[in-house]
Amino acid sequence: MSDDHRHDPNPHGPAARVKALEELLVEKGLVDSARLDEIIETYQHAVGPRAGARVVARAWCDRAFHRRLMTDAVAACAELGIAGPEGGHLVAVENTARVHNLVVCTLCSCYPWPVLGLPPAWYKSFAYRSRAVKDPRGLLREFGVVIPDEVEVRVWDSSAEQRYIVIPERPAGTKSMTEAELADIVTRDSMIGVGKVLAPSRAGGRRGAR
Amino acid sequence: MSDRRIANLLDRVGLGAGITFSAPWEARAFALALGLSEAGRFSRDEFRTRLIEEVGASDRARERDGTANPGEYSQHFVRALERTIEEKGIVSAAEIADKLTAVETGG
Repeated sequence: MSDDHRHDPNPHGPAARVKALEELLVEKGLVDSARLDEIIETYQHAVGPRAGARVVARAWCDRAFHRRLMTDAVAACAELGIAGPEGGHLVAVENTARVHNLVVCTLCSCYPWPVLGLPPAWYKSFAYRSRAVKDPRGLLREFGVVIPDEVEVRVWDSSAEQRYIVIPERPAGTKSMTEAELADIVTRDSMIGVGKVLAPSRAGGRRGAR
Repeated sequence: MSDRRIANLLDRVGLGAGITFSAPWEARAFALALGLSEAGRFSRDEFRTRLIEEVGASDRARERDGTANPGEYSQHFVRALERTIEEKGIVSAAEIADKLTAVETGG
């Protein structure tokens, strides 16, 4: 299809195009610049993976919550005050000794905003989107995660209808940690399925970094 | 996968961790799409359909000729936004073209 060659459709450059769109829409009173600033501020700072980390830590500490989360993740997150755009149809998938879950959106960039914020650039890259399905174990090795042959890798393709959060395995040696302390060691990558949660002594300087 | 390795490396040293948008225009485009859908000008699904088309066309081209440009996704996003805005009759292609000329000549 010659149509495919439309992939370089911005001869004037995207920055100028976005500026033109914003000016036009503001002139017509269809968007408000202050509201745009507010949206950016919200998604750059307020909404992010710390919310998901709270969900994971609660699930590790509270069996009843864990059950509710696995049955109806949207309702369970709402219990913690976590909800918002792109958060409907959320499903929690749990890593175990036998199963490792990996989340991708092969078609675009569907991602559970209320629990994880906006997706990192690599999540939207062609390399990640294509390799997650074709070679998930190889991809995971590049993230430093080696999945033994006997462990099944399940790849979840996100869509408008279904978003996923991975509930990583709770690391050994964390029995004495509080729920808040546990939330601090849960990383964004572990909730996408491209990382594992490490106990603090092993996480070292990276603790809570992501 | 070198873009992936670089992203990983940046994450490891803490530089990639907080980066949501790599340029201001990416953030503005995101906010415009969300702002317009909040205002009921189009649904998120309508926008997503166009985004999937733009990303898919690019993916097929890459699979065929092996080109790779990791920064492209945001450009697909802008193109999808423009198409949705035009198709919903919010702003015409001619108005966008005129404004673009004004923006570029006005500096």
